[in-house]
Amino acid sequence: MRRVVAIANGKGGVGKTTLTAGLAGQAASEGRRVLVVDTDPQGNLGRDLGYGLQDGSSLGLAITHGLPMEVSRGVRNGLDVVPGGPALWDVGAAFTSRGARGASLPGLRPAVDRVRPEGTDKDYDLVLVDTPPGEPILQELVFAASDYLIIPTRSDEASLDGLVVVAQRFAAARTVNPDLTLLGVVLFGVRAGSTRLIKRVQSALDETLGGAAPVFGTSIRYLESAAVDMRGRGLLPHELEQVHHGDKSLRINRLREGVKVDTGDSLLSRESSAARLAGDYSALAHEVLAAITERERRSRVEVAV
Amino acid sequence: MTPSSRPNLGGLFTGSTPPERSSAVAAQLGPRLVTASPVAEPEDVATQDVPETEPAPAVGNPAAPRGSGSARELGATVPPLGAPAPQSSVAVALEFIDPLRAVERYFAFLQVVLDVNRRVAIAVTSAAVSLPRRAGIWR
Repeated sequence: MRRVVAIANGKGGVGKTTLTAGLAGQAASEGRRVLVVDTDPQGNLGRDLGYGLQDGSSLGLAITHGLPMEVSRGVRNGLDVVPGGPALWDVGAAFTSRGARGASLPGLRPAVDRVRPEGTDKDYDLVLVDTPPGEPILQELVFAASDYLIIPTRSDEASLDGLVVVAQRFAAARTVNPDLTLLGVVLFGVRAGSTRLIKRVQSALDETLGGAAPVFGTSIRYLESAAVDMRGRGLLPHELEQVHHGDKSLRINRLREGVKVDTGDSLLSRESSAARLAGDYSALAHEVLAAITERERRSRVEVAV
Repeated sequence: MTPSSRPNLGGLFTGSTPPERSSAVAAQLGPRLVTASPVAEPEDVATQDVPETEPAPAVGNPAAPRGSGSARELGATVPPLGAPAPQSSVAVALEFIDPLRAVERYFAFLQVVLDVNRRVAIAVTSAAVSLPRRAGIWR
């Protein structure tokens, strides 16, 4: 059974796209069937997953006209993607125009529900939806189509403002999708070793959420050099770790052969840093999946009672 | 995040507080199409470690990844995290006594020691520098 999980915050630059790609890649690398839907007109997910920029018209027409979506199959083993792009800017205008005429639109959920994995009769385990920060209509469309929401945030005040924005949109979307559930908040982009800061912000977030959902215990560290390496090569964190192994062997072979070691294409990040970053994503993916299981277990108990 | 500026959003997320405005898309969306069962298998997601069948072979890659590292190829060949790398014990032993790799390991270790030293030195120095202020000697 698939779970549709939206990754959203009302503010840009809090790690939504990177988190979506990292979680999707991690889940797929562990054998799960994953679909990623990029509803961001900037289409930056293509950089993170290494498939390049696309225009997003297929997704846009699926939302506004119910046409079948084009799916990029096998972006990784077990990972398919519906790419976003600038054509998604038109979705908001289409909604406004149709609304003025009293006409309805199919929305995102029917389009996503029609997409199935190839080569197997099983469904996707996870559908992760990346959202744009500043497009309320697109974000509410995603919320109307999702089962769960994960909010990535940074440690600053502006990110908290984004949390307020997303909370309002979340509450509004529940009028059309009462099953939408906040799964948790992820602290993203904190400096490694800032344990006091992380604890303080997690405590502040707990208070802000008022017990509605947990702040995930795993936070994602920020490593500038690893981020540059990953986006420059279209690599996910666990893949960067693997590339480091190969890069080290290559450097040693070059040393042995007496040729220049750094040819300008070597990695900027350190192997240990890449390993720790990959570890963050692995731990977070497990925490997210455990949170889904726990939520559904509680729902079943409530239904039984 | 100061306590004074911290809003309580719990009600918005649980549904006990109504939103300040209605949904922008509610009027134009039809009823939500639900195709999946609302009840999940307990082990369906979190405890599923390995699929029963191998993942489908990667097909229809939209574009090759940029740069020298091919993400698609990597994705296809990278084993699950924690899986042992397929390497013979002789190769492991040879790698261990390889002088170049030994040097590499030595400097990686040295780097870790230096990083720890740096953190400790900065922490101790900043604590020492702030002592007079904390003792009330400086204002």
